[in-house]
Amino acid sequence: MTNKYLDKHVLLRNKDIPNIRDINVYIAHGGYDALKKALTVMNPGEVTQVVKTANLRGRGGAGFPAGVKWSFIPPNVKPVYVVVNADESEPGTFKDRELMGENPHQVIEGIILCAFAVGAERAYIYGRGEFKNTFVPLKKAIDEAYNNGLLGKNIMNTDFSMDIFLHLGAGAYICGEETALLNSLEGYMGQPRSRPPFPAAEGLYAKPTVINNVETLSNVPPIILNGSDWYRRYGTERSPGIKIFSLSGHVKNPGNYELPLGAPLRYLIEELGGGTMSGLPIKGILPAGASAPMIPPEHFDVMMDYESMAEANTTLGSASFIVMDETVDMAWAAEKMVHFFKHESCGKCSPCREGNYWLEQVMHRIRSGKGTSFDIDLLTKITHQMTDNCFCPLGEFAVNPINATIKHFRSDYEKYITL
Amino acid sequence: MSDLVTLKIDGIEVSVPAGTMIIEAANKIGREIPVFCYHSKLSTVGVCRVCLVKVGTPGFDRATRQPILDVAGNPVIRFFPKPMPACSTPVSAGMEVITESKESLADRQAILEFLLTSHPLDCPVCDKGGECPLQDLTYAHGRGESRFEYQRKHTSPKKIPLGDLIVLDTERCIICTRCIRFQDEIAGDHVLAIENRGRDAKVVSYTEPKFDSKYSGNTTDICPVGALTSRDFRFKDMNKPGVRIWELTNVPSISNYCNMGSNLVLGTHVGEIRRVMPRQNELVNEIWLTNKTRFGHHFHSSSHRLTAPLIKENGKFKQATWEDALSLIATKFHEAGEHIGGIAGPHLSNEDLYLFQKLFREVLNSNNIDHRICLNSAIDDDLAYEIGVGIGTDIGQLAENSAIFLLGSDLDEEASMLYLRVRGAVRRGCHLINANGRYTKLDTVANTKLRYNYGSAVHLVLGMTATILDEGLEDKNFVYARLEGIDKLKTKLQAYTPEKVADITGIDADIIRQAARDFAKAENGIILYGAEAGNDTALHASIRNLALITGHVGKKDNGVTAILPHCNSRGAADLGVIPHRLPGYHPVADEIGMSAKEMLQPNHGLQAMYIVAADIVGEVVTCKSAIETTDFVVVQDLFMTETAKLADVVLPAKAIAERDGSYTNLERRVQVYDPAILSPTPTCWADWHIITAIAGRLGAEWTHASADGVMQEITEQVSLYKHMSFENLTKPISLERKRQHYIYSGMSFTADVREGVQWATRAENQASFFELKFIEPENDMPQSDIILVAPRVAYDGGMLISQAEILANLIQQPKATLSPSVAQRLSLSKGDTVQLTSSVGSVALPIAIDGKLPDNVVLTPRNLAGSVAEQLLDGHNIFIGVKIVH
Amino acid sequence: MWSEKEQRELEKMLPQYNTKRSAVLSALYLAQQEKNWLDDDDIKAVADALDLTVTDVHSVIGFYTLFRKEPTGKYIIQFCTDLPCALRGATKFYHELAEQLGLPPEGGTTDDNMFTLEEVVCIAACNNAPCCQINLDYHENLTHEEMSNILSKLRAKSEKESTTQP
Repeated sequence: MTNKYLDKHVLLRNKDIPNIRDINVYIAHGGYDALKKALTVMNPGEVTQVVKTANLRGRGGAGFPAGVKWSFIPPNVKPVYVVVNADESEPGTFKDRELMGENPHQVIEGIILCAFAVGAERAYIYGRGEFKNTFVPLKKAIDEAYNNGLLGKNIMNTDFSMDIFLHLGAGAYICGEETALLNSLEGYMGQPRSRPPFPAAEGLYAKPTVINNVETLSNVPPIILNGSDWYRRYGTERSPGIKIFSLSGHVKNPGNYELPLGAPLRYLIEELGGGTMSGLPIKGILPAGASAPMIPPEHFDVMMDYESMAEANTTLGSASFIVMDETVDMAWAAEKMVHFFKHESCGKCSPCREGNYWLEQVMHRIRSGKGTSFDIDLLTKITHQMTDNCFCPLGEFAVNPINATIKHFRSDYEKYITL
Repeated sequence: MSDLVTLKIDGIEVSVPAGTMIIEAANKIGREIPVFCYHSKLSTVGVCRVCLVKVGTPGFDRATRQPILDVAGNPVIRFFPKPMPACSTPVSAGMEVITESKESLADRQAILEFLLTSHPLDCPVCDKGGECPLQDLTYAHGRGESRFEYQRKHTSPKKIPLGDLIVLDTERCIICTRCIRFQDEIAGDHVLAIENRGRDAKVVSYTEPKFDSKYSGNTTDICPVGALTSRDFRFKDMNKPGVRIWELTNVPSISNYCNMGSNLVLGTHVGEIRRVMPRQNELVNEIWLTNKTRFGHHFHSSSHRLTAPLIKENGKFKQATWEDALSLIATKFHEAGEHIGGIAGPHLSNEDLYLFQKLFREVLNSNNIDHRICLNSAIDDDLAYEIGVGIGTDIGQLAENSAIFLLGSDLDEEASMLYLRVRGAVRRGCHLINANGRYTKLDTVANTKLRYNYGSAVHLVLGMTATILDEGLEDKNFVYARLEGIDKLKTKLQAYTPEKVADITGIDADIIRQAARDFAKAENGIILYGAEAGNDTALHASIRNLALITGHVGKKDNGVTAILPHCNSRGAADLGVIPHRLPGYHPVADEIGMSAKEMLQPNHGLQAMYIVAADIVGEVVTCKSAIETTDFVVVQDLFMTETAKLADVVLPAKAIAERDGSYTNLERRVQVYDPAILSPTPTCWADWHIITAIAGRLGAEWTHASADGVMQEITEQVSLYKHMSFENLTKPISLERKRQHYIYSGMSFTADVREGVQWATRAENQASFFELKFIEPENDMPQSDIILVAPRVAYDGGMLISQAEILANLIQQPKATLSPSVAQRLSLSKGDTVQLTSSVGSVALPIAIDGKLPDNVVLTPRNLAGSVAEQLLDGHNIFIGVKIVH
Repeated sequence: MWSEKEQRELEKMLPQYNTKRSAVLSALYLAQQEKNWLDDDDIKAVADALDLTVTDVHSVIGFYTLFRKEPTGKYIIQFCTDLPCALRGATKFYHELAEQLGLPPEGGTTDDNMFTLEEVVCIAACNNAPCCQINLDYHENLTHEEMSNILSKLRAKSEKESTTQP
């Protein structure tokens, strides 16, 4: 029994099975059975259909149904690429690192299944540059897969062939945005592209491309093996399945926890996380790193699925929960996050490039005791001017920390106003 | 034709092709949406966000998939929750756009405020002031006060020179990336990029040489702020007090450096040209200028200008009156009788050239006239008359259904404006076949690159023609209706199948075949040919045959264009400044006169010579003795050229901006330029005026009082030019056509858009008939391991461009460029000198090494100071076998 | 540094991509491997190897934080003080470490050019704060004692390397 909601791990199987990163151990525990099933008794369309029926939603943050994404790939344009988004950079998120480092074969199997489904012969895993050394065990796992006939020519002696290549970014949060990632993979600055065209039509090298998060693809092997009905037993009707929740901040037991979607937030924080280290009450929780509005205490009973979170005026995003106890100065926390977005703004569009800098300047002034109450209002005016006007989600997310903290914890700002 | 989509913008219905962006649809109905990063000539990036508008689409009932209608039966429009960028949102049927909703106006104000947080408010000392889109839009939509109380990038570096011509003030830059996109997409010189991210992003260049691309000046026009400015006009940067743009008087003119006849505006102040800006002509230069045109205007104000007539007495020039000079000339010309010759430069206006030939033919009774000064530069044929590109040809619009066969010319150097336009055509999908004996810059975008052995271009063309006939790819209707001699040609070409010409050309037979198919199958085909293809009747006949059998003649976007060297080379040929043809390509009735080549032989037998606007000695130093041995020489020019120094009488002419006139460009487009400034002294006369005065002294009764009047006579006398009255040529374009144009916002002046007038070729007459002619090629191949190739380059050693100090570093110095392996074989390294010897002469030159050059070629531009290459050439081709000795 | 070795490694990688340009980040990692930063020669070499302009390569370098154009210490300590880590004492730890290394609060390079310390944003190890990367190797759940051990081991390693070199 892994926890109250899950009898055993589906994704973080490394927690149940020692050394599953070794291909023999993985195979001994049913590894690559899903691939075998797909390659021998299913056709690509069926694989896509199962993922679609399972309603596996993208785990990178946007929550877009993976099967639907796959079905957008035009049937007659070749080559098709699969790109795995391993640019895990959202503050508080560290699930993909664990998946790739500890249970890499499940990631690889998921990639092969995806490539089979969409007719791709090449997949690139784009990892953030900081994963340079984390990629060493992943590379080893890929080599093992090649040596076992699971990658390369005629996989499992079928007509299907494909290669996986590892590619490293070099330090840029924005490359987690899928079109910025593609630009980076093509050797350009990692700035997002205009959409349309969408990557499914013109992605990598202007060819049809599926881009999925590491965790999303890790869900695919158990779905194919056990079927969509099995998967939909977990989670809610509209947010089915299993999700990894990265828990950090002021909790006793930070870490990655696997739960069905729709599990209560309180269970994650109090039962799994053990409550706050200090034992003091929680002041606020960030549910998706720096990008989503903070959850104030009145919403701590929210369920962790896409719909319930939306009802609580926030988003599930990448499900990285940063817990802050009542000692935290929310103006300080907001300043940290504003700094993050200013640092990571790619500079392409004017509202994000200039707005984040301006926000940080005003935050500094307030926090250094030189601000006036006009400055607090100015913060919300600047965020208002950025909202809906930016080129990509980065600039749109950047306003959340400020707006939510001013809304819920205005007194944390006001205490700096002495003038 | 793509399907039309109908939408409503601010309540006005408009139909545009599917795929059109909202901003272009709005432009069509005269609704201007503000932009910074968008530019109709560049790819769309959608980054500045100032063009955000409110957009809605008709709502559909999910169940019935039918549009939802209101009580009145009109579709209910559902507006998107977010504003959409007009520059990058495609139109859709039934869409409604509100360009100035309350929300959009607030967004505009927000974006302007954001941009100004990064922009110094230094408008009083900014050169862009008065024509700055940021200034204008802030005036229109910005907040009255600033809420930003922090650093506005004042610490960013200022006045960074990007090469000799352009200065970058990074603090003013709003990262619209127009300049980068211009360099990458239009010019093909990847020298600019963004470095750093977020607010630290800035435009940089680390490439050497940084930004001396031939086209970089255009970035100062399209920069929507004062970040990129030109050294030439920049505030206090030159040794002259600055002038504000609103103090300038703007006069339409034509480039005297550009064989496409780039349209421009001369910005003048107190009688002096202060800057040159492009004047839009979508059929000629679009909105671009070359740097040579933009910065090369300084000859007008040069202190070296001739200001009075000079008569040589005892070897020394003495200032004279026009009266004395003209009397002397009349006497001497009269004495010379038939032993007189005239050379007129192809920079003269049509009016000057016409009167020049009229003086010789009607007053002096001589056909000894020519404009082909530089012996090896002329392409001597009358293909333009027969099958020049059709009227309305617009390389700026060519796309997928078209092919360009470029043969033997480095357009980047020889026709820079055409280079930009051909590059644009390729970007839009036009198929480019680039054939030359060496790498040229268009190879970077060409679909097919053919590398022939020098002297074998004619065989390549014959091989292509043979393929087309063999595979039945000829335009059968055209062949049947308008051509004669196809069977005879087929027979002749049996000796020139791709297999048979593969050896001599050095090009694989299959590749020749494929190029032939690509050219023949294209709906539109244009052949551009230059001097590196050779210059003989067999070549011209083969080009003519290729164009005719494919039917690529006599209609828009089809035909042939010779890459002639000068701004009015075409006009000089049209108007008969050539010994064997009268104006309008009529053969002379009497005896053919002497060509320039013959006149410039030492034993020419002439007693008098009249040389107008031609620095013969400067261009071909070996001609010196021919002039020295002539009894009486009159030179008419702007400067005391090397040729003028040898004259007996020197006459001071007006420069282009000091008078009016017309030029005819490569594509036979006749265009007028207006007078903008006064001459240094009133004693400088327009060339046509001087010629008229001389004719008068010789008894002619000409009544020309203006260039306009001369053109009036041309329209009456030369049927090709019957539509070329100044009245016609200066007609502004229609409002409808104007709407299709994109005038970049912020421009401080309104200049007439005139498109000029093209004369019709013979092929355009649908009743015209052509006989295919086959001329057996002579073996023209230089018999040598190493071939000297002497093309023209843009930055030459000419007298006019030399007056522009700002371009001084760009002027090429004579050198011999070799491939690395040739250099290695001869143990040569940078800085060494080699002796080049041909059958004609021998010269010593410093070397340069270029890895892109083939191993059998040594490159020495022809039109550089000292005219070194000319001493090696045989007056037939611009390539010749040479020996190289270290 | 760019030598034949780097050129060979790059060429092995090129078939993975459709364009040479795609390999620019990989090539820059190779060029930076030896001394942790890129000088003009390295940049020129990468540009030449991939048929890019030098300006293009600078543009890429400037965008990504893991490439440097200024000399650094032998070991680059990238210490995370982003929000999740800061909540678990990372900021205090960082300041103490800076002091220990004799560096100002904003970080920098030690006098012996051994260590460059810098504050970075999230490195995806928030559950194990305080944490850092040293030349991109993770070090997590740090205590000062552990950190001292790591630093002295690296110092010793470096000394050993320099004495064994001819």
